[in-house]
Amino acid sequence: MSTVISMRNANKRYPQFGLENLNLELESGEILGLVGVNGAGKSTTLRILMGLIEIDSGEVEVFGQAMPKAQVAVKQNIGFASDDMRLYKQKTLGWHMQLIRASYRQWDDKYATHLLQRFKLKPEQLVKGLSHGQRVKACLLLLLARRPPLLILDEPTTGLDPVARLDILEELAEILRDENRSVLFSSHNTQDIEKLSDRIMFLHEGRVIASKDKDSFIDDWRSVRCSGNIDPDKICIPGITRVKKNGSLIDITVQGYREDFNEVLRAQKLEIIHVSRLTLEEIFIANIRREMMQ
Amino acid sequence: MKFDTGMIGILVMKDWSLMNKYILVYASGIIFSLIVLAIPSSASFYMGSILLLTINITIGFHSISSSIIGEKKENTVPFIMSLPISPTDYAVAKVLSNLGLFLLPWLATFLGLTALFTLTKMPMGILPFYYLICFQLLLNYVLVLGVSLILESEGWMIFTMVIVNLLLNVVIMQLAQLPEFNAHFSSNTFDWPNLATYICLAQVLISAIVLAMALVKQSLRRTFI
Repeated sequence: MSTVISMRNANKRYPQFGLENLNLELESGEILGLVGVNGAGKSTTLRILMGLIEIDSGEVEVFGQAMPKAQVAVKQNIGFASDDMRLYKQKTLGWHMQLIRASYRQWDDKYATHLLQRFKLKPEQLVKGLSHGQRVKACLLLLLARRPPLLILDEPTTGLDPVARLDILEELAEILRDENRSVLFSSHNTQDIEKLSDRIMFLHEGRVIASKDKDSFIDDWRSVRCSGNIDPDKICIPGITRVKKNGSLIDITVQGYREDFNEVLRAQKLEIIHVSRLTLEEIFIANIRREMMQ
Repeated sequence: MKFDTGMIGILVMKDWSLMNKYILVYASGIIFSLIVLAIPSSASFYMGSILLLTINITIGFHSISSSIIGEKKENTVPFIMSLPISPTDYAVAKVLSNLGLFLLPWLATFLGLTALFTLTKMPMGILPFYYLICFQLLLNYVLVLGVSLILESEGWMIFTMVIVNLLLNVVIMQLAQLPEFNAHFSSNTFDWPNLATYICLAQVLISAIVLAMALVKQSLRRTFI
């Protein structure tokens, strides 16, 4: 596996916000999901990788080339889409396809036709007549049909209704399975990230607060529901991030869960009702809360 | 400055394609204005002249506002930024496409006026005055284009438009009062005074400097944002 993206100690300062010592690596064939609330720095990070924003300090390389210096050559190999990207509404999808075909030597006509059928789009459709979901699909078609080895998708499902979102995620998951390409995509929707990613990175206020492969993330966290009359502050097991008491019920959120924790809790006169895994959204919230408490 | 001429060509054609139906409308407007101008009456003469001025000013405003400010407002810039281009390629393409969009109808106006005065009995002596107004329109356009490229702000573009249009009135009034021009307004012979050459050179030179400044400023940018 080769390194496709390498970002080392990247800093970017704005008056109200900044990225701090951001480190990010993406290997060939890997799908990395960036999760963060609005304003966490996801879009800024992706735009830095596209060579659209220059960092104040640090190093950014994509395909081994320094950004933004090599942005023209590197962008030949990146398919980029963002939620704020719009096509020319007075023109047809076919007109946009012609424009992209002229701009990229790797444009694949056969694949474009295949994607048109798959996304149920027609080249003669005017962009202004497309629904939001169709516009997102049109953007994906335009970037996928040139078969870029790296996809950078900034909140591709934002603003879509649940049906269109699921539709696009399913299409995307299938396409990504078919292809040997690296993908970096951001979302504040953890379900989207969970569905597509191999590895997940949580961003908060311009810093990486956690980064792991998806399975380890999910496996690492548990919610333990117990009952007992004990002061929640006195519960002592390593990795506790939150204890919530509701009557005699106590919910403990714990990172780095091990089977022997149950014995430790029982020793503290707590009866374990059940132990469950957390969803990625719950893990994300737990991370943010821990970060805010620090 | 390093350019990708292939991509610049694609971007220019893209801008032209977005404006093609308007080019036809403006071309028809110019032809109509020239016909009005050719009608032998003082009312149609003034009306035709004002129509020509208005159309040329509108073309400039329309092309800049839709291709530079409009792309930003309608969020089509992220799509263009994702293409394999540098900020310099983008700026050069914007200058070329906008200049082309303006120069085509401008040239049609220029040549149309020449043909009109040559082929009809209209007084040829007023033609140098008309030519200088044409060059002032070009200078005004370049000033608005330069400001729009550098500042990428609709507010600044409108402010510059207002200023250059006021300037146009001042230029027309000043030129009309100069004896080098007004003494020949009714003459049937074309007499190009030396002063006209100097004014014309100054207008072209200032236009070239403004464009060069805009391009240098943009080429110093390493990133789009």
